[in-house]
Amino acid sequence: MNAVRQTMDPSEATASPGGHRAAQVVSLFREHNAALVAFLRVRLNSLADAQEVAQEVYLKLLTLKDTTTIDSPRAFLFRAAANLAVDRIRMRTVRANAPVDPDADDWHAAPVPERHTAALEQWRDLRQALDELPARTSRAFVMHVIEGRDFASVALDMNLSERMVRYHVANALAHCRERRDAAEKPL
Amino acid sequence: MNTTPSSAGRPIEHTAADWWARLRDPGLPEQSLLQWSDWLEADTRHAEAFARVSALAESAGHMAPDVRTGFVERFAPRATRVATRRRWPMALAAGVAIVVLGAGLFVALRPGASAGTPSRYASERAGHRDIALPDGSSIELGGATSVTARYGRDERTIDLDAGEAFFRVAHAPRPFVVNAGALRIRDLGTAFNVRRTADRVTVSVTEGRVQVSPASAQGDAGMVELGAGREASFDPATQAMRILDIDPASATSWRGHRLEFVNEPLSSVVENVNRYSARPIRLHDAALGKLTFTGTVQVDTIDSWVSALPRVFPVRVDTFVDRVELVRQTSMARNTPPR
Repeated sequence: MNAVRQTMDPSEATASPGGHRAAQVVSLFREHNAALVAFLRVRLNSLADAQEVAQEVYLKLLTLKDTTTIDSPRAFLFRAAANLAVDRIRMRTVRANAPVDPDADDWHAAPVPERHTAALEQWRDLRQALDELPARTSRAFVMHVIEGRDFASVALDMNLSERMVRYHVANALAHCRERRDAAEKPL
Repeated sequence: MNTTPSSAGRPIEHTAADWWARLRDPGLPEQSLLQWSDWLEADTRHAEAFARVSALAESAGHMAPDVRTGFVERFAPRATRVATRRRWPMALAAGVAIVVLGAGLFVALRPGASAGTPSRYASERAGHRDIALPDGSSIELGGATSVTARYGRDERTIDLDAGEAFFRVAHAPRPFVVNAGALRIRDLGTAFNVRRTADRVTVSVTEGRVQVSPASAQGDAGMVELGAGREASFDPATQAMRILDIDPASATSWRGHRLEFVNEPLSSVVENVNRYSARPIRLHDAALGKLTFTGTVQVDTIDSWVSALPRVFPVRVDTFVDRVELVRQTSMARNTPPR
């Protein structure tokens, strides 16, 4: 599985007479596109959103004035990406807080049967994996990864430092990944 | 603080998971980010392991709502937390308070202590407190409420400084008077509730009768007499008193961990809810405070009440670590479907 893949073809952009800046941006993207998308995917917890925002970063860099000096192109790239990711999350917050009509989203009430079964099995495995962990570890994982609460709010809730929350989340994530890998491996 | 996940002796998956968690921190130093990208680009196995870890987190973050609820209830239940961490200590605290207060008042009310030494009682945020007065009367304080009691020779006086309290008054020759902002409530042998939100005061009678008059009035000027099932509400904006028929049970619903409001300005509702909320709710725009709210708020599920507000008001909810903000929202943005 190689989910981090090239999502755009910057070579096409060189056709436009963008000059030195454009060429620089294109080479930057060739080199670091996979890392950029991987970074955005973590921040947004969505590959599709990460790919979209990566495009936005690309466009933003292309439209920079030639006079802008960039000391570390890679740092500049990530900084621009981090900022656009924040914008995207803000936009989502607005949407997530829109009125929720529980009766309206019946899309999950009538699932395709076999897909539903597979999903249930997948979640049963995850639940088992979490059951094997210390309560704090699984709790931090569920609050941060599943509920989507930020480290600060989980830390407050669990009376731990943010660093400890991160530690528990990382441990749970590694453990669940191992369990899922084992389940997916052919006998 | 600034340790780097080390690959020494750890499976790649663990290093990948450590990095994933570190990258989730919006305050990650730029230098660490560059270290991560060096690690990622150094070996295709690193990139693959990182993608697998990210994919697992992504799928876990996008469960169907019913599945998510199942996980939250199993591994991060909210109800247990409230019960074990909050309710018990509070019940204990209330028990202690009764004993201590009883002793305090006994001293203050001994014959001869006619000067009426003031005693101040306060409850914590989200806390309830029962105060047994030596004359047989009792006061039940709602969350974040404070009162000052002065028992003099001729009058039993209670000042409600802020919050909400339910008074059950024992009959005695000395009148029992509650001062709450602009209102003075004189008891005629009864049980009644007073809620004070800044200068807004609501008096609800559950049994018997009370007399309500402007605190500034001399004698009986402007006095109204309320019987059971009646409520007088003083609105500082209009400086007028409104009298309503009520269900006595709903006026004291807070005693059962519910707050009920009828046509109450949102500003006042929020201030009352904040007496119970772990995280204060703020109105981003003062004009929002003029919206009126009718409904019930369960004090132990304030979060879900807040998150439902956008359904009835043109607001969105911004949650911060230390507060929750209600921000005016245009109708267009509100109608955007949830993700």
